[in-house]
Order: sequence, then structure tokens, then C-alpha cells
Amino acid sequence: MLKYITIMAMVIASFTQIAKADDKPELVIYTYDSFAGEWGPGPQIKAEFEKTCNCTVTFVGLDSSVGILGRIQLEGASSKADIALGLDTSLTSIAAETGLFAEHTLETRGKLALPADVGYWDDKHFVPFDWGYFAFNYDTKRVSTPPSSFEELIAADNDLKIVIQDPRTSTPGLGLMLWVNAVYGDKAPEIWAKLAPKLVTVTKGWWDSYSMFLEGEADMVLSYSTSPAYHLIAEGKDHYAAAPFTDGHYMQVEVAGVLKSSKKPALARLFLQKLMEKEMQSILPTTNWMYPAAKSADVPEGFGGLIQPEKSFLFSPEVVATNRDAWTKTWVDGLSQ
Amino acid sequence: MTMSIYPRQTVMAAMVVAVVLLLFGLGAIASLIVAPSTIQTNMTADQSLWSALIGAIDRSRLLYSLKNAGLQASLSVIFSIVIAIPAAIAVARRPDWLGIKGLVMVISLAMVLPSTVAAMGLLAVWGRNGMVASLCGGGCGDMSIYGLHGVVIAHMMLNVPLVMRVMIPLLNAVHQSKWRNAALLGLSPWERFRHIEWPAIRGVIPGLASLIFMLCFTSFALVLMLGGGPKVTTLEVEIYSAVRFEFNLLAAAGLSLIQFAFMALVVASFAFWGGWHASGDLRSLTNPLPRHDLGATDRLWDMLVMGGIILLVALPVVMVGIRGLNMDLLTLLKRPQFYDAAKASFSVAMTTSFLVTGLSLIMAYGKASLSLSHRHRALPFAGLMRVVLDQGVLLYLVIPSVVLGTAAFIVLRGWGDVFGYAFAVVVMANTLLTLPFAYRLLERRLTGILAQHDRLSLQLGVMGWHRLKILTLPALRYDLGLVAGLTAALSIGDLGVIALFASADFRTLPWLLYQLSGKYAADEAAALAFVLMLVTITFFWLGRVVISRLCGGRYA
Repeated sequence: MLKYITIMAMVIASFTQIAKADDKPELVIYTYDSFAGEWGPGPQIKAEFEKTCNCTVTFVGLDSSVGILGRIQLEGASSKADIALGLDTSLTSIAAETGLFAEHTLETRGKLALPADVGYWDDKHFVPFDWGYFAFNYDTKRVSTPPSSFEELIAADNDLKIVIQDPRTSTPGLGLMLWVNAVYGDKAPEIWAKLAPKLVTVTKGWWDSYSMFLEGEADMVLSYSTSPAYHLIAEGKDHYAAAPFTDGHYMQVEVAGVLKSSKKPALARLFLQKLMEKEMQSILPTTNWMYPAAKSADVPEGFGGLIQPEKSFLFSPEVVATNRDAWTKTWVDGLSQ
Repeated sequence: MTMSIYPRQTVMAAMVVAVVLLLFGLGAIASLIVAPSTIQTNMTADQSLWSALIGAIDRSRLLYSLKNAGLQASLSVIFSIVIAIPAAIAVARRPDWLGIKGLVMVISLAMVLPSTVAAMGLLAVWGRNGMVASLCGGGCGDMSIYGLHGVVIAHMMLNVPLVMRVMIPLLNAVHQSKWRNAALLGLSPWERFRHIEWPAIRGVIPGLASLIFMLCFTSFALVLMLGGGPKVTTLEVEIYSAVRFEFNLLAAAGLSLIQFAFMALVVASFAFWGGWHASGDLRSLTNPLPRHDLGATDRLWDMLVMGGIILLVALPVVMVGIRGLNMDLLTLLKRPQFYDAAKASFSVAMTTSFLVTGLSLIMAYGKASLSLSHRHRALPFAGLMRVVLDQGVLLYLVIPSVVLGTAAFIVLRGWGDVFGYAFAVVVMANTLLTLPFAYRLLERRLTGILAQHDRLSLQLGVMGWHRLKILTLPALRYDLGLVAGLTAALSIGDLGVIALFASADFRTLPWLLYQLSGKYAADEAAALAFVLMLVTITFFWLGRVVISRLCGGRYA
């Protein structure tokens, strides 16, 4: 019996050893997992920066963009992170209020390729690195005439089934909530009530609903306007599309910031600067499937056929922080009727 | 005198384990309340627990969540048990039917699949585009699986196998002479059920009912996925949101406490219903023998019941397998990350399995000592302690994993590199999560075994370690093997807790699944779900073999 236990203990111990890093300065970046992962931009970005920085870049992949902020809040001033990468503008107000982020001191004016509606970027703590529109995606083989506005979506036959995410658990879910409030303001509760009969379901995360859509459980799914580019470029499938809404589309802007507690602030700022330059920006479209935020970047061909909304919405972080609770309540009530 | 000292020791050990684990869970909630001020939470300085709670969720919404989750969980309990009883009876009395072992294997897998993967399997059968819908080619009308009924069906898929697994050995333990007598007396199937089968299984129902209630009440991703909208909800959604989106730890702690109190109430009522009494006469397992008292009606009935189980449980599991057998399976198997994740999951699973098997054995031993009349007479509060062991064990399930993970992080951050603890934290979370299952599977059997040889061995002076080694463990090795296997399979890796601790050095298979699915890699994610199933079977088998060997004697 003892023999077995010893063997088991040895086997287990051998698996839990942790690798030692070498003595170059280490730049620790907290991000969400699909960014850090082998299929995301992480490895290429790391290689690009390490060419010149004489340092080691370590991406720590957390479960979501909200997870990054939560982790930093938990660690406070003793955080190991130098940079937080992958928060979006619905979180930056809360993030800035923690007082844990330093100012980025980069000049972004004139360098960004965000839609004109956003105005100029005046966030002192965070720089945008990529962005996209939320959009309802569909399969052109199944839906021939997609709705072109929320009004048409609501008026469509109830056979048209859509799947969305919960704003209490998912960033795209939160995005749809903000989108409807941006378009309809006080009338948002009515829209939710009218949308309810078309909902297949509301999922916890983006993937649950997207895979349901791919399996044919729903005709339309709330995702990004850039999702079809993935199917086109990575899979060679051209029958997925995003439905352009004449109301305009809500945006997601992903940002990065340097932590006050970082012991290598110069290196961290250098990373942000490089992140905005052509080399790194051009990695993003086909790995993170979003638009690059800097003008300098190359956008691949497959992105050319994507929808180009005429109007875009983006609430200021403060508006999101103030209204989220109330809007979530109307979302729950509206859809529960 | 030894006769009274010996049970006292086992009971004490069991109570210590039960209470320590419970304090672990409650301590997690408490640590959110007294979180150090260095943590940047989004709450104002003068906020009290109660005001944070009121701020996080309005009272009508809270009541609605409790009511809705309560209804959903009650329905899930009732239907799971009502379906599982005939299914367990059918499987138990047909050990010679072709493929029955395979069927039991397949449905056992439903217990250990990640719930959203199981839900996708269910949709492949019952969904809009599923097997049933395409078979009737639009003739089935507007059949939709989304809504309260969908959630209940999914919970049945996950829990019917558990109930069956607990009941089948009890039915097999019924003495052969009873069936013969039933046949001689010409009892109808209903009378046979009332006089033989029901008495054999009814003792485990309150315990199973509260276990299932708890699992369904706190179920989350699956409830959202199949619920059809926020109308069908659980409190867990709000707790998750309070921690993750609002980072309002006080509100999360408050909601967790409410959930805990509500569950304690439910557990108490289940205890009042059935768990308070010592269990009756139990025999140990004999190998199932073919029965000769069954007629043509029974045959038809059993086929019907098994057909239902295949449709409800086995087919969705098989669909997960079929979806996973695609070209990307090879891509997946070529990835070094896959092997790293498999190794991490392996060490988590084996460690948890050892730990849980040991702890559940201690607790089950305590319970058995409290259940035998010649033993517990010597002990005060035997009934109360039985309830604490029997029902208290379930309350570990009530602590939301996001709370557990956050609390572990808060506590450990003062102790150096938090990443280094990822392994320990996942093992701890899995232990809390799987112990209720393990205990449920074990306590009844151990009581039965002790009932059989306890008096004799006390008279002969065979006791302590010696007795455990030569008598109890060999007699229990089949059950311990099952417990070890199931625990290993269940604890391949919990995603809820690992979320905060993730680092490149420690990734489990479910984490890899999450990572793949985040990148649109649908086929590869499906392939991984399938591989996860295979790995689960392997772990299940490994846990059984290793533990059975350790218990002495051969695994049969």
C-alpha cells in the first residue's frame, strides 16, 4: 500500500513543478485567455516585442476581460502585472477609479482609426489597441433577408430565432444592452419585451450562444461584425454574415494600460507604444478578429467585405458605470414578461 | 471498555472532518466580508452587508430568484427520482441483457461531462435542428426544449444516472429468497415493488433528493443556456455578476449567505423527512444473479424503461462522441498543450480522488457507527450527529465556486506567489464538490457491511487498523473503487475556481476546452469534449483499479 502511495506522490510531484525564468527583465501582461493563448495574438506579439526589448514578455491569460480587472483589484498594489491588456470601455471607468493605473503619456491624437462618431480619444489611463462592432450574425444559407434595423428585427416573424448573452455575465451581452439603450433610450424596456418571443435563449458566455448558432439552434446570434471574417479567412466559408442595422452599431473598444505598481514603467510604456505601431497592429485582425485601432495597420483582404455601419455608438465609461444597474434591471424585467 | 470507546473515535473523526469542511466553506464567504482594505472593491466605506445586498439586487427580484430556482430544483428532484427508480430496477434485474454494461457506462458519463457539453448533446437530440426534429420532419409542431422544462430535462439527464448508481447495488443486495417468495405468492409487479423494491431503496431517497436539489438550485450556465431567458434563473447568476462585473464582494457574500441559509432550511426539512432515522437492515452486495420470477409484462416494461433512458441520457452522450469524431481530433492530439493540460488534470484528479476517498471513508464510518443500534446507544446526540453528517456534507455544494475561488485568492495572497497554489486550490474546491457524491455512494454500503460483521468482530477482538485492513476495506473495495473512479472523473478540473488562478504553468483540460471555444474552433472544441469523455472513462477506470488494489484483493 505504501508503495502505491509513494509512486502516486512522485508522479503527482513531477507534474506540478514550475519552470524557472532566466534573468532578463520580465514584462508581465495580464490579458484574457484567448488573447494570450496559442491561437491568439499573444505569441506573435511576444516575439515581436522581444526582438528589440532585451526582455521576456509573459502573458497571463485570465478567463475574461472582467477577470483581468477583478484580478488586479484583488492584488491591489502588490500586483505582479506591469500591464493590463484587454479591458474594454465599459470597464475603464471602474478601472481608473481604483487608482491602480498610471497615465499612459502617449500621444494618440491623429494616430487612431476609430469611427468618427467616437470623437477623439481622451482617456489618460488607457490606449485603445483594437475595436469592433457588435452585430447580429446569420447564415446566408438559412436567412435570405435579414432584418436591417431593430424595428425590422422586432417586426419579423417569430420563427426568426435569435440567441444572445446575459449582460450580467458576458461582455457581448452587456454590449447589446448598451446598444439598445443607445438607440432607444427610455423606450429600451419595450424593445426587450418585444424581442422576448424571438429569443431562443440567453447564455452565460459568448461561446455558448455562438456554438448554438453554428449548430442551427438559432438563426441569428449576437456577436461581432468581424466574426464572418474568421469563417472566411480561417475556414474558407463565405456564407456567414453580419446584418447591418440602419440604427447604427454599438462598438467595443479594447484598451491597455500600465499599472502604477509596475517596477518597469519605462519598459511597459515602450510596449504600449510598440503595440500602436504597424507591426503589432497588423497581427491583431487575423488573430483577435477585431479591427486594429491605429491608422498605420494593414487590414487584411477578408475584412473588406465586412459591413461598414454608417453610425456607431460608444457610451463614455462614466455613463456605463452610472446606468448599468438600472439598465440591467429593465433588461431582466423586459425579457421576463 | 472498547465497545464504547471505539465508535466514539470513529464518530469524532467523522464529525471533525464534517465540521472542518463546513468551516472551510463558510470561511470563504466570511473572507469576502472581512476582505482586507488593500483590495479595491467597488463598495463605499460605510456600506453594511445588508445595504450592499439591497443595492445589488432588489428584494422582489431576490424573492423571484429563490422561488424560481426552488421550483426548478423541486421539479428536477421529483422527475429525476421518479424516472430513476424504474430504470434502476430494470437495470438491476437484467444483468444478462446484451449491452447492459455498456449502457450503464455511457449513462455514467453524463454525470461527469461538463454541463454545457452535456447540454449541447441534449440539443443535438432534442433541439430545433436535432435528431428528433429531423426524424419527424416538421411534423412535431412547435416543439421547443427551451424553458423551465428544458432545464428540468437537462438536470434529469445529469442526475438520473447518479440515482441509478446508488440504487442498483441496493437492489442487487436484496436476498434471492425474497424474489422467489414473491413469485410463489404471485405478487403483481406493483405489489412486488411495494413490498420488496421500495423498502430496499427508500432509505436513500431523502439524501439523494437533497443532493439533487442543491445541485439544481445552484446550477447556472446550463440554466441560462436552456432556460430561454432571464425568467428562468438562479441566485448563482447574481452572485457571479456581483463578483465578476461589479466586484462587490460584500454583495456576493450576502447573496451567498442567503443562498446558504435557504439551502440549510431545505436540507433540514429533508432531514426531518427521512434522514433522522437510523437506516434499517442492510445486507452487503452479492453478485447480481439472473432472476427467474419475471414475466412477459416485466420484460416489456423493462424494455420501455430502458428505451426511455437511452433517449434521455445515453443518446445525448453518444451525440457528444459523434460530434467529436471529426478531422480536428488529429489537430488536437498533435498539440503539446493538450498533453500538458491532460497531465495537470491527471494530477488534480488523482490527488482529489485519494483525498476524497479517504475523507468519505472516515465520514461514512462515523455514520455507520451512529446507525448501528448496539453502538450508538452509547453515544449522546446520535440522531443529530447523523443529520450533520448526512445533510451537512451537502452544504459544501452551496458555496458558489466563484466565491470559493475569490476567497482562496484573498486568503492566499498574503502567502507569497498565488499562482503556486493553483493546484492546491483546485484540489480543495474539487474535494468540497465531490465529497457529497462520494459520501452518498459509501455510507449506506458501509453501514450494511458493519451491520453484518460488527458484533462478531467486536467479540473476537478484531478491531482498529487490523480490522479495517482485513475485513472492512476488502468488503468495501468495489464501492471504494467506484467512489475513487467517480471522484477522479468528476474532478478532472473545475473551471469556476481555476478562473482566478490561471497561469501558463497550470492548465486543465476544461480550461483548454474553454480556450478553444473562445477562438471559434468549434470542431476542435467538440473533439476535445469527446476526448474529455475518453479521459474521463480512463480516470474512472484508473481510480477504481488503484483503490481496489489498495484495499486488498482483486478488482472484479
